[in-house]
Amino acid sequence: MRQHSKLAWRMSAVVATVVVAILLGTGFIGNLLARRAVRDVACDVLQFNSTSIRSGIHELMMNRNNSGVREYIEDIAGWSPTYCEICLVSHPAGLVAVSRQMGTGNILEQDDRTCAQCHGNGAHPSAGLEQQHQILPGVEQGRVLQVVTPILNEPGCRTADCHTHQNSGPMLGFLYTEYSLADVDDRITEMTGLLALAAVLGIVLGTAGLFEAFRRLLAAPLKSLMDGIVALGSGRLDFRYALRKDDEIGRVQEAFNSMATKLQAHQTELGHTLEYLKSIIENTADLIITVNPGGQIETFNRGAEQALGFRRDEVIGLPVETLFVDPQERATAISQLTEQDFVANIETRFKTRDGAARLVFLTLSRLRDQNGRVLGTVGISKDVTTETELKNQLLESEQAIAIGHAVTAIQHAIKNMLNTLRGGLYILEVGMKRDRQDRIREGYEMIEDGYKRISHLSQLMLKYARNWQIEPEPTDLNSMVNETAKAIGQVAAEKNAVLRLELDPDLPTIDCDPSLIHMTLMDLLTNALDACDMKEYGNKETPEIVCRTACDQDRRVRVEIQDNGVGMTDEVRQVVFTPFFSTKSNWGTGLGLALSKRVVRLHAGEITLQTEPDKGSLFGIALPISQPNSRSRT
Amino acid sequence: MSSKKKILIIDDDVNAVKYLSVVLEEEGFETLAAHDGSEGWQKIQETEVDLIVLDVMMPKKTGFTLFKQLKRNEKLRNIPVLMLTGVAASLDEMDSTAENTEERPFDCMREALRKMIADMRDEGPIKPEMFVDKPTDPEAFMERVRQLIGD
Repeated sequence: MRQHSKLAWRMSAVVATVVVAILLGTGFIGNLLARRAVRDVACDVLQFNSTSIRSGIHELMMNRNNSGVREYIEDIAGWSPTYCEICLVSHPAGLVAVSRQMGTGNILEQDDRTCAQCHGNGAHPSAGLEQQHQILPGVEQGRVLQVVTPILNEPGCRTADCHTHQNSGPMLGFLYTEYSLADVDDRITEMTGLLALAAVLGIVLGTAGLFEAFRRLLAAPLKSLMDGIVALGSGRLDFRYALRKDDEIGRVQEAFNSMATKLQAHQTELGHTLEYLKSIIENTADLIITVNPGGQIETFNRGAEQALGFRRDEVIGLPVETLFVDPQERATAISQLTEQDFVANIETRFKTRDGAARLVFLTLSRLRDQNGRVLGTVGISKDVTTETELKNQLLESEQAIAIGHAVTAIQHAIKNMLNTLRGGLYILEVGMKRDRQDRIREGYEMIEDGYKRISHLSQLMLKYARNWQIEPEPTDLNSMVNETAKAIGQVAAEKNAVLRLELDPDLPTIDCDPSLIHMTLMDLLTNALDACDMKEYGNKETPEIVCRTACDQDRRVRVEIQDNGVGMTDEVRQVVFTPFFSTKSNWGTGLGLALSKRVVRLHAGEITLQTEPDKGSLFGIALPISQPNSRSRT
Repeated sequence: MSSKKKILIIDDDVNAVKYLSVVLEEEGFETLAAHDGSEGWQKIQETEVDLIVLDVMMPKKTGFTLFKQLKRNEKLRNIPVLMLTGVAASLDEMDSTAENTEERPFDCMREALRKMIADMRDEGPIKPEMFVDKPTDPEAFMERVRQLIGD
């Protein structure tokens, strides 16, 4: 309470100080004004009185009652409490006719206080005929008001027979009165004291009232607001004010309520988000494990429990290495984290509760706070044990199928060749039985032919099965196409086929393995010739093969070999690159295009085919200008 | 004048022609050879033959094309033809819907063969003895020849 009243105290003290200052100021000025006002009133009264007395004297003198004048003054001096001094003085003789204090019959000196008012500086004042007054500071009894009233030498007086006035000066004498302002001043002082007392009392009471008012209007609502803030701070977001007044405090309370409502909504939303995220972490099938900077397990989700068989309370706090089949693998993964805060898909093995191993892909991330301080690491692991087993089984199965395919295809490919051998053997047998040399020779030649074909197939199969490494070197494809065309030109001419070259003179040199690309070009050109050979041309058409080179939009070099031969059906086009597939019934090995495709792929290139039955085919090879691992042999 | 029956062998495979010629000659037939469909068609028209042994897969003019050409010719349509398929298994499957998915690359050839055989039916009845595996053993081949020639 005392603490919360500080503001009220301070405000009350400030207001009280200001009020005291105002009161003191106004009191001082009021006192001055009061004293002046009283003086002015006193002056007026005294001047009036003096004028009245002068009139009385005048009347007595006009009646030549000189003794009456003295009695009149003595009478006034005798009984009137108003004056502390009253005297009648003749002028300029300075003879005191009547006086309360100075004694009658005295001649005044010029420095006497009765003379000093007009003759203070020794000069005869021109204003001497006017009534004069001044206030002198009192020595013992406070201030004194002096009034000097001249008694003029009027025309009637000059001829009066009662007396003649010496010098016949303008002034016969003057009435001098003194009035003590001590009582008035005492009253004023007394009143000022009472007023000051009342003011002090008023200030004390006012300050108390102000204090209470401030306490009620400001300190209490502020305390109440502070209670609200403290409540929010301690998590009581349901704290609200009952709105009372339509004033500033009321509006602050309203704003506070609105803020608390929003905060509560945000907290609720945050809570939902947190629950949602927790639920994701908890219910994901992946293993999510967080580790503190000391390497101890901090969280262990349900996915981890299910995959590894441990309950979380069994492993939380344990060193995370205990989960690894080979703890060194964890150390290796962590060492990679020193370079960057993220390492993805490390293949490692976790131990299960019953000692088995689970193969996982582990992704590790460093957890940091806003200031970059390491909070620990989070590991998200995918259990791939089952998938890996299935993949291996599938691989084995695919390998078995592939072997099956290969065996079938090889069997198909060598069947014709075996038949040739068989035919040769039959003819040889017939020749020997009939003793016919021509048959024996024919049979021998067939067997030899069969042998050559099998040998050729075997070489191609070895070539196909080889693990190729290309050896790129800068190659001018135009020159290579020219050489290949020249090599095949004789055969083309024999078959009446036209071989036309359309070469791009600006073709850049490319990185490729020249021996492999040459083999591919030769194979495609031979195929084109075979396709022409298999077609029966009408009168208007002749076999034609066009070989083009160009640079395509993707900065690749393109070689096209187009023929107007038999072409292919869509079914054949789809399988034409399959090993051992051939439409050349007797002489094809079915490996040529499969090899070509492999060579182009090894060069990161692309082989395409457009074909139409009886119209012809267009084989295109696109090769990149440079190879990633080019080893220049120039 | 020779009383030997003439058989025309049309096949682009020189070795197969030689072999079948020897087999037939050993059995007392006279043989002629042609190495593609066009040459075969020419020889059929030039010489009267008793049987045509025709390879299905040939450049220029396939055996099926020639077969259809023969069947549409009034004079020649009755000459018996023995087709050399080279893909005997396909014939076994001719009327079956069974698929062997492990030999996919060759399915298209079988499919093509099926289409051609269906096409051939349009020209007249198709009998199983009209087809033989290429080149088969001499006995099986001769058995088919005799079935067709009626000898």
